[in-house]
Amino acid sequence: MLNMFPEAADDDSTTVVCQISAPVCLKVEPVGRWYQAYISRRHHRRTLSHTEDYNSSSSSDYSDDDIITEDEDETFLLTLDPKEWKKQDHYRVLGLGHLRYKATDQQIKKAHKMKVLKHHPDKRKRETHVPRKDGDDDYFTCITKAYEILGHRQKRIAYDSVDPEFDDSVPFVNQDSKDNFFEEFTEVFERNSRWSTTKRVPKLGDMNSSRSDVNHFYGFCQPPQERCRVELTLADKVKLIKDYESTNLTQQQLGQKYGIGKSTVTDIIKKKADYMKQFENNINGSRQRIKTSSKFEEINGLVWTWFQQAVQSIFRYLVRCCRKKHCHLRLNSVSKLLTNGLKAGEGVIRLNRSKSTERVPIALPDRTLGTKSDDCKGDKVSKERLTALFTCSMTGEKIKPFIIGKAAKPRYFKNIDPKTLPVYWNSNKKAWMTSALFEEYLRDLNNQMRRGFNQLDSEITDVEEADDTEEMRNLINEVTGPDVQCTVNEYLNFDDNMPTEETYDGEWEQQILENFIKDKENQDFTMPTMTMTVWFIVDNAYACDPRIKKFKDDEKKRKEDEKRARQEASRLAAEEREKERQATLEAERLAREKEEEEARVKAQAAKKEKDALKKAMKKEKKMFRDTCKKYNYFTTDDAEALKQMQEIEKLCEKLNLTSLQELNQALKSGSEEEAKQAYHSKVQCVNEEIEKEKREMLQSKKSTSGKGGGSSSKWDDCDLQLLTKGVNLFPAGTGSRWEVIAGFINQHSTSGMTRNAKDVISKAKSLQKLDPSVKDAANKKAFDKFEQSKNVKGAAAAEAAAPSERYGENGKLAAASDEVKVETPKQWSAEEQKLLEQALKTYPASTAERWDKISAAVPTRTRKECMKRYKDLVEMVKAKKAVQAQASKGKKI
Amino acid sequence: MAASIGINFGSISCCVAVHKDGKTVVVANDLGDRVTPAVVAFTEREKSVGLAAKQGKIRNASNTITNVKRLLAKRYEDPHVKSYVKKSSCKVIEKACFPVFDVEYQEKRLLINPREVTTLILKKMMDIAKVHGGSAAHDAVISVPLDFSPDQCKQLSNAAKEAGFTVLQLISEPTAAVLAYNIGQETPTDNSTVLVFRLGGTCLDISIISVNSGIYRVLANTTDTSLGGEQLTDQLVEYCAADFQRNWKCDMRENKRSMAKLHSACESCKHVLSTMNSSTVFVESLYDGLDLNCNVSRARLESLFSSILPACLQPLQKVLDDAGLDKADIDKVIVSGGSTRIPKLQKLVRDYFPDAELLNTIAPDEVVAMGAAVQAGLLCTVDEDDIEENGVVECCSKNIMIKILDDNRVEKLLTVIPVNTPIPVRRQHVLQVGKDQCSACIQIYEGVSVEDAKLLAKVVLHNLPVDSEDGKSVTTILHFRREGSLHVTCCEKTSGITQDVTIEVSES
Repeated sequence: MLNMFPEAADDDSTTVVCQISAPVCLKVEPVGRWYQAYISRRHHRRTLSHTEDYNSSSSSDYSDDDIITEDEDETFLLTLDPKEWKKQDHYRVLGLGHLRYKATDQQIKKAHKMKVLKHHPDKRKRETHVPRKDGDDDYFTCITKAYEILGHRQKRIAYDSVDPEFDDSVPFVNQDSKDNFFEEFTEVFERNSRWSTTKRVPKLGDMNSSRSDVNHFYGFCQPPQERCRVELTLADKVKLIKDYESTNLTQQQLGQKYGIGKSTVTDIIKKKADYMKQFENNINGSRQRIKTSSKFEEINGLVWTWFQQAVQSIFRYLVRCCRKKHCHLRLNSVSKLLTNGLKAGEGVIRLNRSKSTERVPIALPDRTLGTKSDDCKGDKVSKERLTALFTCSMTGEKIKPFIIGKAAKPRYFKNIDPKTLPVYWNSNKKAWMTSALFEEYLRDLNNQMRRGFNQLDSEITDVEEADDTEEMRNLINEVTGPDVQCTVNEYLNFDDNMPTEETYDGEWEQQILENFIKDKENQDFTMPTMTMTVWFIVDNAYACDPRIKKFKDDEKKRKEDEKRARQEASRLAAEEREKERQATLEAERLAREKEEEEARVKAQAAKKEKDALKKAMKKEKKMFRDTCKKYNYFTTDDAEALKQMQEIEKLCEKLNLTSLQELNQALKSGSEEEAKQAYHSKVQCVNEEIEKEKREMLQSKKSTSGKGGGSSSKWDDCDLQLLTKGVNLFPAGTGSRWEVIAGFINQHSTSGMTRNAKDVISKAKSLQKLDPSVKDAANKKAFDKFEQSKNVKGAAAAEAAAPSERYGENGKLAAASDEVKVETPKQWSAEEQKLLEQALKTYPASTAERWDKISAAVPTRTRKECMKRYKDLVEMVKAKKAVQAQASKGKKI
Repeated sequence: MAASIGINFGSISCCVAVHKDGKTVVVANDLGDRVTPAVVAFTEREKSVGLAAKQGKIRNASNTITNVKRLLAKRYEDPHVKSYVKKSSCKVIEKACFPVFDVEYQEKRLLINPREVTTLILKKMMDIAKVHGGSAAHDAVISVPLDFSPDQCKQLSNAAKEAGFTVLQLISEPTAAVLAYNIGQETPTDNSTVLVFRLGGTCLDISIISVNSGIYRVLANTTDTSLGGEQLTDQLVEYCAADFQRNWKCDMRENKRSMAKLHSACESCKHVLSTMNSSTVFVESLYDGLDLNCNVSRARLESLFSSILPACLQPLQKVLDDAGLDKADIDKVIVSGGSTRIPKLQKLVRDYFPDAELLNTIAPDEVVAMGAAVQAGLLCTVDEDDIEENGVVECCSKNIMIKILDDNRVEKLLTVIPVNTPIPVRRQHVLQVGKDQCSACIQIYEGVSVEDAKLLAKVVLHNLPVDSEDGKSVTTILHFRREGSLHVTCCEKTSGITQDVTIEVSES
């Protein structure tokens, strides 16, 4: 280094000249490790040296702090036996005993480096006081091994998990841990949180943690989610199907909506027809599934538990073994395993631990079975594959597992006959199940069972007959074989076969339990303990957590409050409604009373008035009569007087109060002559009025009778014919029939009138009504008339008839046309009428052949027509007279 | 340890990198490509994302959505959206002031907004990442352009969340590029100024980033959305079309389908010419049953680009001016974006910055994703509490210098803590002391430059041993504390003579 500091003058001393300028805040990109380091420093108010880089020169103080003093170190290291490296405390070997799992990767690396520098055999050549051994026997191997384990992330986790110094204790659920929840559990969770594969483990929190925090915490700690299984009810499924059809949601979205997987959605949609059918058959909508068969459920369950146990205890091991590089060696141990370890029919497949621990790599808590995609660092993945079939009966009896390997007699069965194995060994090229193998297996099984039944039967009878416990135990051993250890369940099942109460022995049962527990202890259950531990802790914590209790209480309280509020509200509402109802009823009643009152008053008043009016009327009438009497009915003649009396009565009847009063006044006020005049004028007036009324009545009658004729008069025969023609031409059912007919008539009509559909309908109806009466007559006279019209009538008539003849083939049509013709005589013109009247007068009834003459006088009409017309006229006059008579009669009454 | 993901979500293409077990790798998609086109297509049967969608564009142009990134959180009136609508082959309508794509999917009309399209693309990215990172991989860092508004960032992260990611952070693209090259990450004392030259599919983006104590700061940035790889392709397309017209005397420019075919052929030709010296654009039955067979050499391509490539260098001076820097101040130049693969462009940039180191060892279109994945890997290891996204740090406002004598015994100021170094910081400097030197005077200065340096303090070491053999050295440790004061410790190791002084911070 060439640069150097300037020399100081003698009088110079350390001084501060001025202050440094203040720092500034700058916006930077929030990335990179140094930014992160900066932030975490700031966050935790740490000093700079805490996270200073190990590379930088200032990190030298690590060695002082972190790595244990040399003396202790050396003496300890010298005690190490490389052969026992598995049992050594790796952290202590590297001098990190005080840090243990808290040691960072950097620290481990550094510690190892230091140890290597110090203890490497080559380095120690000089130092003679430390004994050296050759090769692997040197204690340096232990250091290497320790670093091998701790330097590898996963191996280190594995080692940490079996760290003897790790406090694996789990607080139990009791009052104590409930009371001191946070003291008990916070530490436990923090201790265990480092096993989490995902970072950012939520903290337990304290009493004041928010609800969502607590939920998040427990959610995080739950065993890795198989998504919780949701089974939709039938109603939901139908809803889903409808949703799928009506909306354009994707299946995935639907799945999210209903909380099920996409494949389940697909399944449901596939089975749509089934579900809809079930739904339509009114199967209860809340049913989740329609049970197909339930009889195998139990057995499925049994096999499943068996399989799980087997997998837990052995299959990890198998897979691990098979994946190792030195396949041959490992497979040898597989053969050992198969020959010694797998015990059939015992419920739990047991791993013979004593012989295989050496080869068992440390099982990792975060792994399940190794799968194809897992990498196998440094090793080669073996292609070895075994397929296993587990079978059991419904009573829980288990049959030898069926194992399929790749070779009929693999190398690792060198001195073993596969037939002697406690499993059925079979093979095919790919080591998987084929139908041929399965069939073979089933056939064997069948045979065996047939044999077995006979045997078992006799043996069980033996057991039943045995009365000594000792004897029975022997027998059981005989039945099941000496090696077999059954699970408690099986023993207990066997208990059912126990003969009598007397032979039942408590001691015996206890022994079974002891056996069972021993069994369990022997089994290789280290595997899942770690995760299990965490779950236990979480379960316990959840049970003890006062916050959960609080939340639950809160929730309960809230619900109760809500319920109460709801009840209150509904009660109030009901009261309100009742009140309202009462009020309206009251109001109605009042209104009704009032109305009634009013009506009564009104009625009274009206009655009064009426009475008064009546009285006045009576009085006036009496007065009038008296006056008339006084004047001697304005006549001297008795007959005249009678008539006048009648008139007076009529007046009394007819005149209202005021005019009667006027009349009375007039009668009273003047002289007799004047009174007479007034009376007569009044009588005349009244009579005129009556006359007028009568006339009006007559007229109205006439107009009503003439009305039908009036409308029909609009229809000349030609049109009528057209109508009939149209009706027949367009039978009922034609589209807008009446319009078409009206159009037809208008088109062909010569009258120049336009008719609409309504007219046509009304006319046709009237014709139809007339039908029955007219028809007979018409039918009778049809021919005559036709003849007559042909002979007598003019060309016009003939012409008019011609079309009807044309359609004559149709009888009905002809009849219809005749019907129309029947009405033609009515159409007498005024001229004709005049001529007829004249003729009637000229030829009185006594004249011979009167009608011939009359018809001659009326040139356009036949004799018959004239006769008919006359008859009609006579009838009309008669009717008129009758009406008049009736009217006058009615008036008189 | 779950893998963490870095995603470069571009307007033309996307790239995924996975950080796992301390290594960062760009992962290939199901077709083996490391870059996936950001194209979504809807057909009668399915929706597809990536190359399949892009290739189907020729047939299914009206239901193929491209270039969606810049539409995020933009209103319909926005001029960018307007121009997009004009150009796009896919129908875009206005709905509640925002643009919405109107496509036909499974024979039904489907309205889909840019965010949902983004979700579809990111889901694809998720699938790709999961193949390599394992099913537990969901922690992601996604890159965004520097000029993305908070709204756009929010929409993007929402889309990512819908796609199943846990978005740890959105990182700006140039920063990601710098991070990918690990600049300033190894040793915290490194200082450098990096220029990131990014020419993507649709935009040119130049940023200058200063790296000080491992902390990045953007000094200047410019974005030009009118330049990009698409434009370059268009030049080639135009050339080929003209060639076709010359050969066959018919104009195929009107035919959209032919143009689409030609466009994709030209694009691949352009890619090939970045590595080869000549290539052929060949399209069978391009128009009216006529084939196009057009040989293009790299020189030809460069001449075609001659108008555009220099234009890309235009903004450089502006950016330098904005940052208040000179060409010579740039230490490193990073090229990113697919278009910077063009050799000519790299040469131009290299010539422009003769003194700077051109970093192009990571494929330019993957570098951003790599950086994002590095950041994701980093964030995975830190506590959630320690993640802070608003990057404001306290820095010292002036250079802290000490006076030394150089070889010629000339006094000189040496910067120990440069300006804008985040505090707290500790730096040490070791200097030898002459054999016969019995005292040393360490003078601490502060100032923006050497000229206006102001003496802060003097630390004097007296009575240094004279007879030492190895030569003495004086270690000066400058410790800038959080509260702003500077603590100076000077010590001579052999004799153990130590002096220290604290310079307080001024109130102003």
